[in-house]
Amino acid sequence: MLETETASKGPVTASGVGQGRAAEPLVTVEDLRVRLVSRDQNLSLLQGVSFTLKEGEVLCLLGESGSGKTVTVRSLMRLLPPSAQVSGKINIGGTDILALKPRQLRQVRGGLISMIFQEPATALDPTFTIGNQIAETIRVHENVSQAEARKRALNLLEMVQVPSAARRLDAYPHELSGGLRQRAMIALALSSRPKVLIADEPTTALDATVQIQVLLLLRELQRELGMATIFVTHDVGVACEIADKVAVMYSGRFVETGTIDDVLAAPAHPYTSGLLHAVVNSEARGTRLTPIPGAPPDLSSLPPGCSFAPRCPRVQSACNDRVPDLVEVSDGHASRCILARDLSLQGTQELRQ
Amino acid sequence: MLGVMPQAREEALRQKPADVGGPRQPMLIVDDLVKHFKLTGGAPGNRPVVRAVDGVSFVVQKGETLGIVGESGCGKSTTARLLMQLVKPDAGVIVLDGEAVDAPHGITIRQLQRAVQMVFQDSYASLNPRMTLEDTIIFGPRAAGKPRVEARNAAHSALRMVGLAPELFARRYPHELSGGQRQRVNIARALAMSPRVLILDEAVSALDKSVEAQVLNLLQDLKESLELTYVFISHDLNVVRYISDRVMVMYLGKVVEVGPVASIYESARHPYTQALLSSRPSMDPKQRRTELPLSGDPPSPISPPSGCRFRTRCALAEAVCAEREPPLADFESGHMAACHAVIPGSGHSLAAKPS
Amino acid sequence: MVSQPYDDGVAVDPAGAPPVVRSRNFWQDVARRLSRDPVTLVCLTILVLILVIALLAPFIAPADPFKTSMVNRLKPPGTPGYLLGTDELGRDLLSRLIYGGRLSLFMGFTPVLVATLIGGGLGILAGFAGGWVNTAIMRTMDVFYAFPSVLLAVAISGALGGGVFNGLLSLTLVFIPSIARVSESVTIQVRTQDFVEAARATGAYPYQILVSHVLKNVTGPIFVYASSLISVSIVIASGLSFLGLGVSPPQAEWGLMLSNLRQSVYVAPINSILPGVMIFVTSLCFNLTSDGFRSAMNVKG
Repeated sequence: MLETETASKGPVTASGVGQGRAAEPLVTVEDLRVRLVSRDQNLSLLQGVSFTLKEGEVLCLLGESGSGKTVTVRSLMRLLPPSAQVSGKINIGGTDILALKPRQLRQVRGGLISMIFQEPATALDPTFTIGNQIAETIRVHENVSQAEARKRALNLLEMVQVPSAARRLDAYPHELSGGLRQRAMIALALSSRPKVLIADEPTTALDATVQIQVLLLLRELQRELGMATIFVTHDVGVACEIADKVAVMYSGRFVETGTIDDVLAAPAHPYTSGLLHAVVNSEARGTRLTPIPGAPPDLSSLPPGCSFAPRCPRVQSACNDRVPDLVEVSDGHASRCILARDLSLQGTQELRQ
Repeated sequence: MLGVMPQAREEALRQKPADVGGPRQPMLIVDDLVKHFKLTGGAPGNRPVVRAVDGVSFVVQKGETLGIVGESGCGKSTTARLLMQLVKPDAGVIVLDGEAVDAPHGITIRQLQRAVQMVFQDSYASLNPRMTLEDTIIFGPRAAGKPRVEARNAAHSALRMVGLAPELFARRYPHELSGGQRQRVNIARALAMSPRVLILDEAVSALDKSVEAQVLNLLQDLKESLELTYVFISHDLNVVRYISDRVMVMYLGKVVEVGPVASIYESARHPYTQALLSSRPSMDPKQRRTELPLSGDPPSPISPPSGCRFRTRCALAEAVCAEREPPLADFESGHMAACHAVIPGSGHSLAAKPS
Repeated sequence: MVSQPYDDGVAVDPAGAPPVVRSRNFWQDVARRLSRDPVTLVCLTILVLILVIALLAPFIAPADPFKTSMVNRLKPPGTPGYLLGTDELGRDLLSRLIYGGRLSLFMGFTPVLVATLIGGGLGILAGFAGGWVNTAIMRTMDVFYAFPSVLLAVAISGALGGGVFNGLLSLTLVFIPSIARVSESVTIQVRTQDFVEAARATGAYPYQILVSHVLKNVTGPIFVYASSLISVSIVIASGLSFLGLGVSPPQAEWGLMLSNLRQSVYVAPINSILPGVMIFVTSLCFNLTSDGFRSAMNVKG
């Protein structure tokens, strides 16, 4: 049963919401599996993803193309193509997402969960002004007058630090620059005070100086409003800037989970450490880079055991037998590798040196 | 370390075009390149003009890698296309190894285009979906007049140089390859022309990080074994630092700073360069960025601000910045910057007074 | 043979023999996709059947299509000796339909073929060259394009006088502008693609780029569009004959037959609509086939 929010919905203030974290996780995902079945193909996009997220936490899904990170977050909002078959459990704020009927789904989308996309141009309707779009979204979810909704839209634009917000209310998306459009989309996403915010590579298409602005903004907003946030990215630097917890994904599974500090300091999966070493950083100049050999696997023909085995520098015969389980390496830090404990010990030793 | 296969290297060196100007002669001299694009719309005579490249000059030495960085609207991609004459400049001179391009006693544009090759960003769109990889690579040498057999050999040795076995890949189509492999095909296509200069326009930007490292290693190997000169355009400052010898920073159609890579990254003088460097996300979760290096968006190149184009976002802007455009001034060891605040005697309050 | 640091994980037989590279080119892929499309397969079969029957007319037709018989006028289908009945002059309808197929198909197909060669060529040239060449060609096309096709065909045919050749000429002239338009826009689309720019960057001459790179990519869409015009051509050709401007009696052609049987529609309704049914079926099958080709080509880039 969908719980409609009847608590008072006053104007959004900066006083902060949810200072004390609720004991119950807000988001619970169990064994999420997604298959894409059509006449031409039968792909397994997600093969059993499970996680929980508390109010106010930021989880970063880190992975490359084909890892399944976008599919995961789109399943949360049921924004997958019709040929996708989804199984598993998704529970957000007490609501079983996969069991919702279309009308209930419409209330949940934008209301309980909101999403910001990579391309603001596609999320914003070019025939409506920004103010109208935000106001319309507000009125879909709440029963307020047009004037009240417009006032709230102005508030939101100011909250996302759009300069000359009053003037921008009547601007069309194409009249705004990339950074402003992205902010408008964030305002749109926040307009109905969602409990969960999903950000799918929102800064990838932005210039460096704008990207850092949007990242800092998102961090601030998330802190103030206390939303649970799932942030999808392929950029380790972005994950460092924004995440509390991180889940590294590879060919449809979590291969490592933990706090961002733990995972970065002592990666417990060969893919994670390969990724971290492959990323070009400032000190690399003059040395030869250490890439991960090979390429991400073809999702239509995955190997029987660990899907990273063909590229893994530490592969053993046991790796090809079955898919390893996620095992805990230390408190809150888990890895899907049979060598997990050795790797993580190694990492912490290197750190101490 | 294996790197490029020995026989491939021999073949490559046999095809190397002659060095005309000698080792001291810069490979490329670009002087005052200008390109304005007219937009449609508006009254004729008063049409808006995009001043994409507005007086850009730089030099690339033989065997070095010049990195070009900047954000959207800065003109770096247009500069790349002007260098290859894919777009005709409105003004300016390009000199390749001592010979002026498209000038009375110099070389023709076609000759330039055979010595300077480009690798594009979108690996999928830059390959003809209806042609096999072999045919795509053969096209260039054939168009230049090479006989069929020779062109085919050049194509196969190019594929081998980038690590794609011709027996396995020559007859495939682009959609059968991964992003990294396609980008290698693009590099092979460029190499088949036996170029002296390679322009890499965001060549690794669309690749996954693990694959990006593979391609960067490949590029370094090729540069050494084939004695190439690179112009590397990217928005990723870390990658540029890794691969470049010198770096040029562009803003809104102009060069704002240029110099040796260490000098630029460790002691940048232009406020924009400093802001750009501070905008990189930190790789340490314990040391997150807390301050905004720069506010606002990069402005549109249609009507750039008067004087210094960066002044609208610059914390150090003063009256003199709106009046006069700062020239690109010399500092030590080839480091040049265009900012009133650091040029002595410019009239800016922070600049040193001339003695 | 692959140098180690760049291993792509491509499965190589350990014995050293490279795997067989089975790569289908574009048209092979289209054929494969078509083979899974039941509607298109059915329509193609029907069309092939009609074509074969038309080609083998002298051997298949049961009777002489020109032999009249005033006694056996407008006999209904099923009359012994006349499987589909007779027309208003007593000629065997089945034989006339079979022979009529030849002319109708010919008049449907030929103008489209010639117009594709001429219009396609003009459009590709205009699209590739741009500038004043484009303006000169396309604005001329626009003048003809402004006229509704049937009207234009009738006007040209009427001005030139009737007859098969003039009918073909007028139909060809009608189709050239629309094919030119489509070719031009497809060529412009292809011309702006990155791979064309990459080809230009190798210092190739424009005609080399046109022949090697552009042509391969425009033939598909132009073919699809042209094939959709065949049905239109059949209908308009029949229309011209109906109006007396195309084929002249006693030739067998479906449109002409329809016109001649028009007066007998109350007396022998089934006989009268049979030529129309043939036009309809053929037209429909060409349309659906062309649609099928379009979907088969759309899926891949």
